[in-house]
Amino acid sequence: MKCRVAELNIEILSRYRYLEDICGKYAADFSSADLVLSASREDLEYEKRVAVDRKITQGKLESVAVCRKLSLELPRFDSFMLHAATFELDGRGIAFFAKSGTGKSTHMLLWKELFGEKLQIINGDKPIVRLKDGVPFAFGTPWCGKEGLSQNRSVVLSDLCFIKRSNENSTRRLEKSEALKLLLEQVAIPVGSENILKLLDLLDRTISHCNLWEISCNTDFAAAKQSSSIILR
Amino acid sequence: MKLKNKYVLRTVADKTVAIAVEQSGEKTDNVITLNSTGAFIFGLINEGLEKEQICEKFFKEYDVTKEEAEKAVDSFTESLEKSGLLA
Repeated sequence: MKCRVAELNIEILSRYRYLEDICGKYAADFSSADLVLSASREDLEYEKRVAVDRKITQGKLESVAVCRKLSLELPRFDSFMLHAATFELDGRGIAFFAKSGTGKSTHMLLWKELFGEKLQIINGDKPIVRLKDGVPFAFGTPWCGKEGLSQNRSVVLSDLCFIKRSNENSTRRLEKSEALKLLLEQVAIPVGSENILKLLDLLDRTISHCNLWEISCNTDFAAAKQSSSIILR
Repeated sequence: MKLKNKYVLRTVADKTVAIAVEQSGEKTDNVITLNSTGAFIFGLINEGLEKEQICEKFFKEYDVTKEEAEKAVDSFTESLEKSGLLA
């Protein structure tokens, strides 16, 4: 199966139908691949061991395994995969990232309720960020979460927002070093010093380019009004 | 004195991030954030220096007495040990 994701030609050798289904929007034709990916039986066994959902299907295991392998290859293409809900609003690329289950998708959907069609979701779970001439672009990918929120498009990333659960709604700017520490928890760390240094360089450049925020919020609609009023000021 | 993993260090703004080259340990062992003095000592342990050598370098680098240098190094290595990062 051939697909084009984040301007990379990727050939995926899959055994199960699930990957083909989720990669549909990204299908492409090319003669030479930047990456060829597949999941071995050992890869699936590893994913099954670490999976939260004990009833996960073989197809989904294969998808997770291929996604992990892709994320580890990305730094050599000036890219990295970010665990974040990402969207475009008024030409700005905004990413909400957080520990799993905190509510980044919920907060993004509250913003969607607030802004309607002006807000276009790029990816609900794992966008790829690719640096082009030092500018970070966020791309949609097939790996977009259970809601299936993804578009095959990109936007210049301008705001990185760390979501924290809180009873009271507030938004503050983050220091660069705070943001780096939080971001590192939401990217796949490659193996090998060269790859790690490359990833750190990409993250450093991304952080330097973006506005950095911490959004403390509950799940009320007012939370979206509060955070957007600060971030879009 | 040896760390369980080998790390690469990179400074961003006022903090240094140390990332394990091979992720062999617990996830929390793999990414560590350090202030400048912690990064100085951690970097030397990562290079394989022994305590006496580290104390000597700390004494030369910072405006402290030899006793204060040893205290700083001891305090930092104790925190590494408590965090399970030393071999």
